[in-house]
Amino acid sequence: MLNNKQIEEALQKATKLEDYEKLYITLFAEPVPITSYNWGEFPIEDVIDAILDNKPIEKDKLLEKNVDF
Amino acid sequence: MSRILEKLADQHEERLLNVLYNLENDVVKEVTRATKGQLVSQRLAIQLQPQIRKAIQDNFLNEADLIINEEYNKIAKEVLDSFGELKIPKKFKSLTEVDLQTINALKFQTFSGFEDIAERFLKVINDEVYQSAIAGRPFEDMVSNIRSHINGVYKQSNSREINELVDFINENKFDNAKKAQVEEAIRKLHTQYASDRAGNNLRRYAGQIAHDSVMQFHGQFTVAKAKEAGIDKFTYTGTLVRDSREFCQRMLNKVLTEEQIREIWNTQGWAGKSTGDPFIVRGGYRCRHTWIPTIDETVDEIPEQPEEPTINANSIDIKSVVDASPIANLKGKSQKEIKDLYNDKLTSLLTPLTTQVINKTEKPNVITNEIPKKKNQRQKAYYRPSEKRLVSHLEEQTLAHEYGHHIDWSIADKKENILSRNIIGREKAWSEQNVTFQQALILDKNNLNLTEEKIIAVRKELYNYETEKVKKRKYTYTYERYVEKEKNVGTSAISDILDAMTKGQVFSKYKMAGHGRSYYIERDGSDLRETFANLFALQNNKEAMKKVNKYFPNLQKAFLQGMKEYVEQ
Repeated sequence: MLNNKQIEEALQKATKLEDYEKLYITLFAEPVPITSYNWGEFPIEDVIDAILDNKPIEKDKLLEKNVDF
Repeated sequence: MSRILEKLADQHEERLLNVLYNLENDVVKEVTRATKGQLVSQRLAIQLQPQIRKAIQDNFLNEADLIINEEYNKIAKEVLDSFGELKIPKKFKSLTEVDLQTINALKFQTFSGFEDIAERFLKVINDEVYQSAIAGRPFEDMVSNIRSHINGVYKQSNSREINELVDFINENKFDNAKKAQVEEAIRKLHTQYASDRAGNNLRRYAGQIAHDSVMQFHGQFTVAKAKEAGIDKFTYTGTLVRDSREFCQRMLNKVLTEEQIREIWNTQGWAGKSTGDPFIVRGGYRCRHTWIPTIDETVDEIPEQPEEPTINANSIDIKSVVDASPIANLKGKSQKEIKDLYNDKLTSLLTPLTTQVINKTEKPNVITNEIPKKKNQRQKAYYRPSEKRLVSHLEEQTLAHEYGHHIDWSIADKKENILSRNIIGREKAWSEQNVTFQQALILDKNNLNLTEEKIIAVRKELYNYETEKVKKRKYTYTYERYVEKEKNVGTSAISDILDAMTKGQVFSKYKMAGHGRSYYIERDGSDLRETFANLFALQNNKEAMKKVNKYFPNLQKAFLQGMKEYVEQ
């Protein structure tokens, strides 16, 4: 498990979207979820927020209700 | 199209259509012999497969082979004759060793087209027999279905009048003097005996491929010879018939360079356009026009596409279902103003056809927006079919995308969905039910050949790679991302169709726009539904449509065909 300092170092080193994505997966052991507000472009800001808050992006409950994005 | 080519195309079509009756008889004879006219068992269904393959081989493929080997040299001669009239060195007017190799390669390629169709129908017939075994379908029904798969409404029937009509059509199909009577007989066959109709059948495809193979062989050999002689100007030649495509009418007798011709194919779309090289596919399936090499003529300008009639704000009215109360970022605007904004936005994204589709379809129960929970969070956009609830903001073409989902779900066949609910536990949208649309997705995907190199090449075409910074708390973070080269040209929707084709790889691996792997893998049919919604949203974006026609010509064709059929129902 990475501590805060290691996480910050990893964030500072990150340059590509893939670097942030890998860090997200390392921390939360799950892929970046697609939600009804972040589909389209890779949700980089949500990913950085999630890493800084140490709280994964909330899964969109709408997906269980058979919606199309 | 020269008279010789026209005659050859018609003769080949006639020959192939005639052998389909032998094929129909042989297949039915084999099935009857094996089952003795009783219900077919699963074991027998499997045992019958080699016999059915042999029947297709002996009838359909054998005739195709004879036609290609006996007749295609005449097409090559026709090409050489057209070169004979040009002021070019003599060496380019005769048949060379290389030409012979080209002709043989083209013959081989042509035959493989017939083989593809044969394989497809072998599977259809085998599936029919096997499914009949599983479902316990009566023998007579199974035979009737097999006959329909081969000859459609022209299948051999017990009804005397049907047989008479079919015989009359077959005997006089190529006789110009009896054209009107033949058309009347076809109309009668289709309208009065429509219940016999089995949609796509071998006859339809066989007739088409027999015709198109002649034209395509001619096109390929012509362009090969023209390149050899250094000719790069061509005239679009042929005659117009009653149902000639608007495109062919516009292009007829135009002299264009190869570069201009390729530009047209890359940027323009038209009803009936098919994928492939412009010199080979020309106007599309069953097109009777050819590109003939030209030397002395002056090059014309590229003919402009006719302007689509514009849609005004009164063409549609969704205001009654817009719930403006929770709309974000439009504070200060009255309910009426917000309703107008939604109505105007959707109108701006429609074509006459999509307007007609919307006006023919029940509106969603509600169109609204949901205020994001977090500050700086993007606004939501989704469609929930069970409640007919459409949530969208007004950015780009998202409102039309979500409305596209509403249309896709609303125009689906309800009877078919009773079955779907029982079999797969959920209903299907139109895009999932429509076989042509499904096949178009596969066809365009295969034609695009989305290897890693290809995806990266497309990404380069659509996106720039840029470094961006974002400040969070006390630090600044840097990241490189793909940014659309041009705004408002439908890049994200086009990228999303590619994402659907690759089951989310384009988004998840190549970081282009889309819905991503988990969405496409976990949500059955979402590739078709999202593709439909994206196409619906892009129809009135000229720049985007150039790319749609370049990357997804079959999907666009299937979309237009489906929507036209829906409107005309």
